[in-house]
Amino acid sequence: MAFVMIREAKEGDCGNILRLIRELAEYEKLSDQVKISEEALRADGFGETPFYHCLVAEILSAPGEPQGPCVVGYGLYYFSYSTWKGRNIYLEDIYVKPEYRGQGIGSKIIKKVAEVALDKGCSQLRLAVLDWNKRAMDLYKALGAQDLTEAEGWHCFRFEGEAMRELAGK
Amino acid sequence: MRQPSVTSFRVRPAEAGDCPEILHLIKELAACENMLDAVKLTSKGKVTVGLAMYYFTYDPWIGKLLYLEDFYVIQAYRGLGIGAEMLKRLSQIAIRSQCNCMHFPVVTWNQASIDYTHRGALDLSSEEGWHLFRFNREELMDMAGEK
Repeated sequence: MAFVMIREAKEGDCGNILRLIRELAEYEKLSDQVKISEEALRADGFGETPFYHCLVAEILSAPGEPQGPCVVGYGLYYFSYSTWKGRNIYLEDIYVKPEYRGQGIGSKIIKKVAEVALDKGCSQLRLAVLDWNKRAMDLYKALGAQDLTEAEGWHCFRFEGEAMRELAGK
Repeated sequence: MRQPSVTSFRVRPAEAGDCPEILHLIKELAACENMLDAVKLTSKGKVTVGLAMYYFTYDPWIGKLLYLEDFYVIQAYRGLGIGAEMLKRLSQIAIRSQCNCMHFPVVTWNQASIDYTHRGALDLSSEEGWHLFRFNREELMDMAGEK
């Protein structure tokens, strides 16, 4: 089995990350919603004020193999804040290419994010899952997460585009 | 319930000195109780009657977002347009910071959630099926501890 390394993304990974972002959107059946560019990812993740952090899962090829290391998954997160508990981490995206699933790579990414969370004094890690994605829900529950939408009735609301401009203008 | 008379109000960014007041309002919001007794009204002084706590988040599909973590007006001061003014200021901040949307969590037994949809907000959990999950510190330590 090829060796997989979870490491912090570098600016040069943005092309690969965007490719995987599009794959994940496709998997979630929402690919027409991806509007971001590689340029924006670079500026927003690696500029003066990073708006996100990213880990990549990299397969290192065996000695003698012609191809170099290959990015096969990613975990994109940022720091948030709970007025009840303080510092939080929010795992916005986690994705592993289909042909590399079932090897524990997703779990390795989540565990690495958990380490970062503790290292930075965070008391919670939050994430969102689509209700039909039973495999992901089962994984998170097996790792000890609680479904707050089911347990406590939390829903995520959004004001976008026209609705937000109207609010601002009134 | 007698509504206090309000001649004017203003919405302003919080400063470090506001933290005790902010904590007070956070506890109120958590308890969802009518804490009118705790509000000290004076004829000349200023009273903090609401808060909006937000930060910037990131959606890899569209970029920066403004996330409204907490939004609260003391019950005795509702219906005066304070919440609407806070939402207006937040939207202006979002647009100025090049955010494409504002997200915020709502507990669906909260009647105010219906107000938000009337103002144009979308319930992503109902519309697209998103569920919010949480790992607490204990689970984080379990996960980080395993190698």
